[in-house]
Amino acid sequence: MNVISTRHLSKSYGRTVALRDLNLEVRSGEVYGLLGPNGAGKTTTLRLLIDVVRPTRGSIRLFGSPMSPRLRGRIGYLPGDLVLYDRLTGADYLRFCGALREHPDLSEALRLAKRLDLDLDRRTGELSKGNRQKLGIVQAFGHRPELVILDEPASGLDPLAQREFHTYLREYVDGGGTVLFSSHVLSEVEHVADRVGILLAGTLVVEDTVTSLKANAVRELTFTFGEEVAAASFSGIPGVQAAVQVSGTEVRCRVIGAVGELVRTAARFPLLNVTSHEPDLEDIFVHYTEEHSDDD
Amino acid sequence: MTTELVTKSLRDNRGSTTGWGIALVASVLLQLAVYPAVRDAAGEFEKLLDSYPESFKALFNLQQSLASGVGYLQGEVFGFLAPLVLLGVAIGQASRATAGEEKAHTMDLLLANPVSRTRLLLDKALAVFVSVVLVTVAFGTVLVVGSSVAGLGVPWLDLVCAVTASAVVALPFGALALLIGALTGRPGPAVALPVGLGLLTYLLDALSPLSEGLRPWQVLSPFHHAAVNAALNGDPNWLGLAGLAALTAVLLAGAAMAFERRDIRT
Repeated sequence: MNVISTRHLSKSYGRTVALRDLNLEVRSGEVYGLLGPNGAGKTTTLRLLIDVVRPTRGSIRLFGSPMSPRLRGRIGYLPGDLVLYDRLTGADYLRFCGALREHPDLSEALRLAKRLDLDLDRRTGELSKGNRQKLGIVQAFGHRPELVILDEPASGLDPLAQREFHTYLREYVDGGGTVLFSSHVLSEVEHVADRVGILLAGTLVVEDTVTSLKANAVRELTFTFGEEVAAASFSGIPGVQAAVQVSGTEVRCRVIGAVGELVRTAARFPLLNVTSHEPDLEDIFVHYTEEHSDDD
Repeated sequence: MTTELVTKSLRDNRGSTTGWGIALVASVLLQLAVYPAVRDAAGEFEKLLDSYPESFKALFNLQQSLASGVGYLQGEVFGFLAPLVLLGVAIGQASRATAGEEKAHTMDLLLANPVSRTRLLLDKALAVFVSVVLVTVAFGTVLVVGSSVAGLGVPWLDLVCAVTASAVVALPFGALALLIGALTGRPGPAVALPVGLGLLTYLLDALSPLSEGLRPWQVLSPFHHAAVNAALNGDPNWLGLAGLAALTAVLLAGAAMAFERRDIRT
């Protein structure tokens, strides 16, 4: 079953198109990562889903129904621009949320707060950015929602808290929950997402698993040889985008997809060493941006 | 009604409510304390007032002799002080009701809860109403007790009616602040417009008896329909007050409709 399903979802602000024809399907029990550079439409998408902004065109169905206030009780939400009530303590804030959601049982929230090492007795105004973010995460999961929508959840968290949060996310999904989150950090998406969608300038340009996304991304292989080898020897090999002569004995190749043919060619020379750079998010973005603009 | 939302809003407004309330109560006590002195020197005051232009006296509601309890209260309490404070409470708190949360960026998370926007707005409106009632009750109690101690000789029922009328006239201005806040998500205009309109319609009501040109427009002033002076003289305009309550309801409905349709600010 699709927990989230959008059809031609579009949002414009005046003449600025923030989101164009988004058909997004998030299945029950999966972690879906929405990836994209700043201003790509990630936050707009999440705010449309939570119904704080209204679509210019298209429709949204959550759990198979159009959004309603009742439905929001089954959803947890963490906004990208998280602001809490400064004067309330963490515990007060969770009680307030619990009352609004008719879920006064704070046991899950307290358990998660403890795991994230968050002090709930301090006023939120006195918390560091990281600790406020932890409280934001705790309130999103505290009422045991079936779906959580998180906008840049790991932002501001220290590595330890990030790891604990990712572990918790996995447990939550294993327990039947569904997650949609946005991020611009590939490593985060890689750790936790089952599927990834890349948004560029308001358009979903690709949707895939992380593994195949990376396999199809540009990566860099640097070969060091025992004698001088010309870069030109590697141009024309399938998948190789560019071959650059770094020095007489060193050649760097940018390649997409399988590297077998390239490596076989390199092996014909006296090969001393190969280093491979994992494609980072920027490479993947660049790749899809180029592809995206070619389509236009 | 969501109790939690109403009580939180009341808590958030606690400073404003007690601040305005103490200011009003203290001012009323001060005015009542000096009444005996004013009454004894009434002859001198009358001479001084006679030299004032009519428009000035109209502006500060100084139409009757200051020596009489009713005249004194009209001039010193209901003329300026009470409307200022009660409109201040209503407009100040209503302008922050939804627009304040939007400006502070807390609205996204608040609306992610299973509460409809209309419910949220009406709960916040209720909290403003409760604050106005609290200040009004404090004001009325001090006025009734203080007037009797100071010997103003105004029937307590007339005082209660005048206090009620003063509070009711503040409600449509508060509802207007809520409407503008709901339309724009900005507390600035939600304060400025009702304050400006309050000042304008107050002057319209106060000055129109002096000007033929203004008189046809007097009916547009909520202060005219609240008829606080008439209430103080034992003749409250219940129909006018009901009209103001109805206007408040219409503005609230408009605010709810506007808020339901809008994109929340980022």
